[in-house]
Amino acid sequence: MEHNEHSKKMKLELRRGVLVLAVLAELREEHYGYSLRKNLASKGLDIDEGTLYPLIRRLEKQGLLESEWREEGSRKKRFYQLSAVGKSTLRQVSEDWHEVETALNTILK
Amino acid sequence: MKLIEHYLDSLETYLPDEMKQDVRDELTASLMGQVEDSQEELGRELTSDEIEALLKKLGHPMQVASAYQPNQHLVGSDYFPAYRKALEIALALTVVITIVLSVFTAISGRSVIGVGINIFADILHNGLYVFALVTLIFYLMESYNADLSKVYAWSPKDLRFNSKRLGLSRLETGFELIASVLFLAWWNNIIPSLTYGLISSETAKVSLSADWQSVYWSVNIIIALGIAIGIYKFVLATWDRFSLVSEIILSLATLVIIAQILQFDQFISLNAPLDENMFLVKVIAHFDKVIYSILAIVAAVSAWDIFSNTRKLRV
Repeated sequence: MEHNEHSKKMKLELRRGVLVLAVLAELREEHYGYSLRKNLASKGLDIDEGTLYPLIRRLEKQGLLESEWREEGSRKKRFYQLSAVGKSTLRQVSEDWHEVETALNTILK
Repeated sequence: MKLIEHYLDSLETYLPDEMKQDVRDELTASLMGQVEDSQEELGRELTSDEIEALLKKLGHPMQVASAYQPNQHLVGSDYFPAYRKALEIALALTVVITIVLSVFTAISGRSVIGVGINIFADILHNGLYVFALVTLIFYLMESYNADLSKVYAWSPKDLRFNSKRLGLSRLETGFELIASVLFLAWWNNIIPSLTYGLISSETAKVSLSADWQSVYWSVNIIIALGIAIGIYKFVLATWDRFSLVSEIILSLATLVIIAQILQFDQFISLNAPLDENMFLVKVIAHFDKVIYSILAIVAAVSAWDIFSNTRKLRV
């Protein structure tokens, strides 16, 4: 396997790992699928729909998100937002993330 | 927009009914949002090629539909180690049972090649059923979140029998098992070509003496228990306290039986007219030597088993 193949694979795994945290953080504000994807992409995290939409459904099933179907511009859209459980989970996971980030920065120095 | 419609129609076919409309609405909103944004940016309508590229980026309908559904595997990583062990044990058991049953049916006089092909076909046939059944059980266990804590319960003390020094080869155990089954069949006169009559003619007959009857049942019991322990070892492919202690007891019992056999007045009985006697007496003497040698080998193997199994118990 080429060097860049390795780094590509690792980058994907890395993004997959932080994706949940990014989605939870972004859904502190209400979004529907496409607007969430656009927001994440504008902040540097470009995720394809095939990954993002099933993920937000799973998070909803786990009780971390709440959703509501609404009609907007003659089109049905499903809007997602953090639930109460999701908010406390986000707080905890954010703290964990900062710990990991600090530890990793120390290791990478 | 027909391309998008066709894409969504195709995607729906891979989804369960209760998800179809939901997913379609969600993806329609997303795809149309992307089309509108791109058209606004370009100041014109998207071409068919551009829409095709957009859909290609989303992925094959089958893959996208699959990502929406839970349980994209038969057995997940949490259950997989237990599944693999269960499958290994079940298949080993299937192999042993199929071979043992086939050996007994093979005695009906079919050719060795025919029996071999039959055993292979039976193992394959039964093995596939067992594979499917074990996989189904674990799939259901995972679907219903079955508790595996008892399966994964362990203690470092239990791991001593898995050390490299106590390795147990399935191939070796398998050969031991086949040899034991064949011996048991011969001992019980089930194999027609190997009867107690060692030499027989119209006028003379050389066979095992009547003394052997005194050890008939004890030999049967020891070999049968040996086969049972052999199956247990073959299935688990590891030693444990039970198999080691059982083998030590069986080896001791074997030594006792050998001591009993050595007390026999004669190993071979001769039933022949006087004129054939001189030749047959020599033959009997030869057989006596063979039997003594066999007994010596069996006694040595049993003594070695007692010694090595006792050492393994102390590991």
